[in-house]
Amino acid sequence: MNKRKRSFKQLKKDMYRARFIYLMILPVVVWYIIFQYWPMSWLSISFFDYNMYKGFAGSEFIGFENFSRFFNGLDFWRLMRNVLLLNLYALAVGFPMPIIFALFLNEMRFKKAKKVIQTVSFLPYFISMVAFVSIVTEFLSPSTGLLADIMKFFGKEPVYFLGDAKYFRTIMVLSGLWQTMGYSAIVYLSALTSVDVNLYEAAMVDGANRFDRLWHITLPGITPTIVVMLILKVGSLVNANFEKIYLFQNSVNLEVSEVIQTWVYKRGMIKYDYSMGTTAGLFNGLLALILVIMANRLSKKYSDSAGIW
Amino acid sequence: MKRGKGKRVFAVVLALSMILSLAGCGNKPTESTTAPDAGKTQEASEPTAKESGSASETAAEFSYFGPLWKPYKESTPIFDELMKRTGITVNFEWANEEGFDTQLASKVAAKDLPDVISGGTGAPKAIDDLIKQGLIVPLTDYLEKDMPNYMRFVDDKDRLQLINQEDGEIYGFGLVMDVPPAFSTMIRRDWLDNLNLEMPKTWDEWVNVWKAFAAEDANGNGDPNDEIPFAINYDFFKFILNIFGMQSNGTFSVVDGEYLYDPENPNYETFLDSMRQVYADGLFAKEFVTLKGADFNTLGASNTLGSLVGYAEYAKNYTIACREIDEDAFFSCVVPIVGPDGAQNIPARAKITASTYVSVQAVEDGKLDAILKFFDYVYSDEGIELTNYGIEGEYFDRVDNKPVLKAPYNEGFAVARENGLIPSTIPFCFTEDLYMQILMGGMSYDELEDSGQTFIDGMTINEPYYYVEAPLLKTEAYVDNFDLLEQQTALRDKYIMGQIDKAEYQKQYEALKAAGLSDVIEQGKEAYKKISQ
Amino acid sequence: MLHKKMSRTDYIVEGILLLIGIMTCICILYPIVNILAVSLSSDGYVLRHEVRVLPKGFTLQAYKDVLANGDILRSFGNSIYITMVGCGVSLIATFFAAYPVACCEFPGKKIYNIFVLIPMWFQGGMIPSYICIQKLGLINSYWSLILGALISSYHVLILTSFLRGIPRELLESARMDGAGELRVMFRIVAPLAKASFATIGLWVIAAHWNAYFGPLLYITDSSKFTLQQVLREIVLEANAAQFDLGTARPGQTSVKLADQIRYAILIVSIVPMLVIYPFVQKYFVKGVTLGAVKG
Repeated sequence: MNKRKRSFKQLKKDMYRARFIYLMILPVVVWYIIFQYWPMSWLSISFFDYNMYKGFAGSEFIGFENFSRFFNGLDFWRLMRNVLLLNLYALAVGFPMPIIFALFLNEMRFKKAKKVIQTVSFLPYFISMVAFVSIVTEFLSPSTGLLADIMKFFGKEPVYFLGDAKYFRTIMVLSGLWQTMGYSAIVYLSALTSVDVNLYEAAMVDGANRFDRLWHITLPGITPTIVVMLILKVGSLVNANFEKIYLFQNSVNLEVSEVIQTWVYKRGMIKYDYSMGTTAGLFNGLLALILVIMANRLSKKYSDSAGIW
Repeated sequence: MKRGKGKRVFAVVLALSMILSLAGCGNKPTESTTAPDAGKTQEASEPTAKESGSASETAAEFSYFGPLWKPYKESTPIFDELMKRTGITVNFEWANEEGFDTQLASKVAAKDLPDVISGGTGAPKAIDDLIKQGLIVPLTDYLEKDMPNYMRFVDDKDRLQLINQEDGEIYGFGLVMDVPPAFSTMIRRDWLDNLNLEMPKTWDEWVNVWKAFAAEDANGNGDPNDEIPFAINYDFFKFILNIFGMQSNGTFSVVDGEYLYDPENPNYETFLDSMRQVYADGLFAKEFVTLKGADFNTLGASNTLGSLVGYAEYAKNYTIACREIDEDAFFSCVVPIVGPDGAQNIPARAKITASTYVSVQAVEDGKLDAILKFFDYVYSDEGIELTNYGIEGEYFDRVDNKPVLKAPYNEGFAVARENGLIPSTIPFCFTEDLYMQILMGGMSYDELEDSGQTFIDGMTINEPYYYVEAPLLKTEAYVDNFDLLEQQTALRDKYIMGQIDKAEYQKQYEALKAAGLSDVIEQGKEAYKKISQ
Repeated sequence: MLHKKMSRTDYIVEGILLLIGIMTCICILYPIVNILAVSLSSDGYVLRHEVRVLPKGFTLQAYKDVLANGDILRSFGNSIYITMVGCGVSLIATFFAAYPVACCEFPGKKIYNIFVLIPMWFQGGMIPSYICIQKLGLINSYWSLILGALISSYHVLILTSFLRGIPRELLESARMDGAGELRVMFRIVAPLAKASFATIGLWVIAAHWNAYFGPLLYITDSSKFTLQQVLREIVLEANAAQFDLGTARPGQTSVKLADQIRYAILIVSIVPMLVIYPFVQKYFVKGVTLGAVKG
């Protein structure tokens, strides 16, 4: 009792001391409440038989009925498997590559070339998804594409890659890599600039070679960033790259390309259903949050870095 | 210690999310009571005052919310003239086409219901939901009574497309397309000549011609392997069902008064096997699954395509484009392919598309009469002349008592639309005469080039073969199991491409039926029975 | 270390790295070069799929068609305005959001941290956001776009994790000297975080520059359209012309030039990014020298 009182007093004191900090974060908090949390409160639509016009007051609270409708309506496990596999492949390839690319650029001493390569690698990010899809389709076309020409040159029969479900994930992962590798590398490049240069010099004196320096100084230097990025990436495991998947989807690859978001979207085209879309959004968010909490705990347990909170 | 921390974090998150949903519940009622106070008080009180005061004739205005797209303009002399002639002011509010659905939903949620809601060329996506919520006025009775000019275009077949299958009411009215359908079958006539082939008619003859196209160097570029004998825009794949005697809307056709799912059709197997054969022989575009939109146009213009089914206009476009490569190129519009069982048909577009709906707000404010009066005028002879041909002297001259568009308005649909003619952003009646005037671009048939002539031929050549598609019935099972229909399409395409065999197709199709496809089929049948009575 | 003379193995390694770099560049560049080549070629070659790396039948017609749209220049200006102001305001806001977590102690820090992170996974969706903007009276104001995208939790997180790397002693000694928190923030921390600001600034710029759905909903006055809105309109128009009815009149068909126009639009919208990027990149490099001071 007494202890609690004292700690309460202490808390008051601490809070008073931090008053300027509170003043500092006040606008930030206000912004978050208005632009993020107020809209977020609409997620509770998932628990109502929501009537858009009457609002919450006129809508009936139905608990988890929307969720059961959602899970029963879609072929849940098939869609979940698709999005997880797609993301795991993307994680396996798409996560390390930007790091390797950033390290590679960092190792390069020929400044001009480094600059050019970096600028070039950043460009694909600005190509709109629709144009991107048409470029990839053209590139992979068995009749007119460049890839077909190359295959013919090596005496192979061109393949209709987009017309066969088994190539779908590879196409998504590799094209995704092309699109975002340079962009994703930026954060690592920026982190690399803060690695302590003195450490390198010390290592040089000790006679460490290039690889040693990379392995023992550079990599540990950017590990905190890598951990943060990895945790975030895990959180996005359930988030499919909706627009891209939708544009690449065709009847033949449906069995591997249908994910929850495309399902919800297509259903919405037939029947506008706000609660269904919201339920899907809430479900995705919850799943992502659970994954992130797990990843965060693991990272705290097995590495020295702090995790994201 | 660490575990404890994690627990605490989790608890905080949980608490937060609970607070959130509570905040949601607690927030909204106050929200919804303040919202009308803030925004709608004046508007809401005004009409009630009017209603109690001086009857309905004073409320000669209403608000109209719909999408706007290029080349249409926000206000045009035609709209002004319509308002002048009817004495009714329309307060148009336009949304960007792509943002329309979100904006409409936001309007509804903010209790800012427009009097008239239009989806432009089709119904707004949310309309079924709005009807279910009781926000849309059923117009069945009013249409007969107050919109005689509109109703003269509505026949029994159109009614089937308009009736709401849930309650048998008609809610929407809209675009009347009193024009010939625009699809045709096309073939490279110059390739036939190059290879000394006869114009094919039956399915077998077509297959033989395709085989010749595939085997020989039909386009004479020295490469005998780059010809693609037959292709179709994947979005129009249903046209192939037509060849095999299924008058399909893409999924269903009406056979002997029954709403039949195409794969259940006795002709479906012939269709599957014939297409599989044609595909295996390299006669059908290898990439047909991804061939749509701009990609299909690129193929059509590449001088490697031998025949297709699509908009008659393609004949002209592809001919001109291919002549950049081969000056003899000529896509000719021909009669539809006669299928194995003698079927020879091509779908017509629905004559009437419901696009426009009246909200309960309008009734509450006593604006319904003005709305019906305004739009009925649009469908009157005078209104049709105004929306199609514009204002006499400015847009058209009267020759032999018939309106004839002046240049530049007759030079293209885009020019006409930009200047307010053919206003598809509001419901109106699009006439065949105007359609043909603009189609001909203000020229006579003889003045056109051969590519233009064959386009016009394509518009008329199918005259006896058209059918009207079955309506698309969004039954509960259909909405919930739409993906099973898509999976059937996947099976179909895989079978055609030879990725699965017949036994596998049957097995998986039966699995789909067991998973809920049977419900879709049954409910469709029942719903059709209900509306066709 | 950069001043040290390079040994022979260093030269070999450098050569290999350069080679890999060039290969990567080719892989990344090919599609973009192809886009550029197609946008500069004439119809026949494009339709026959003959254009690969170099334009064939060189013509600027597609660019002329795109730039003939009178709204392009104005919308270009609008987009630049939004991007510049948005970037500046966002950076300051992100700094204010991240700094207390990384560099200060205060009761409730953990809750605040989670409060900031949660929106990464939960979003209300477009309809409540629209109503929010509407209630604030920001429809048709650029502030709807700037304020709506003011802070990204992701950016806050990145900046926080960067700021955590700044030695506490540096801050503590400044505070001991009686510097106010704002002074510490802007005089000591901000200069050290330049590289991070440059990164986040670039992201914000990219996001504003590419933003499409926000403007679509919030900006309905055509004189205020952003570049992406106008470009999208041209693309849609080109597409619409393909599916809408043409006429039988002799001459132009809509099939021609469609690819070229689509691609010319892409090139036009990438150019400003090409201009900005090397400028921002400078700050990444500067980070190296700053890092040396820090140790």
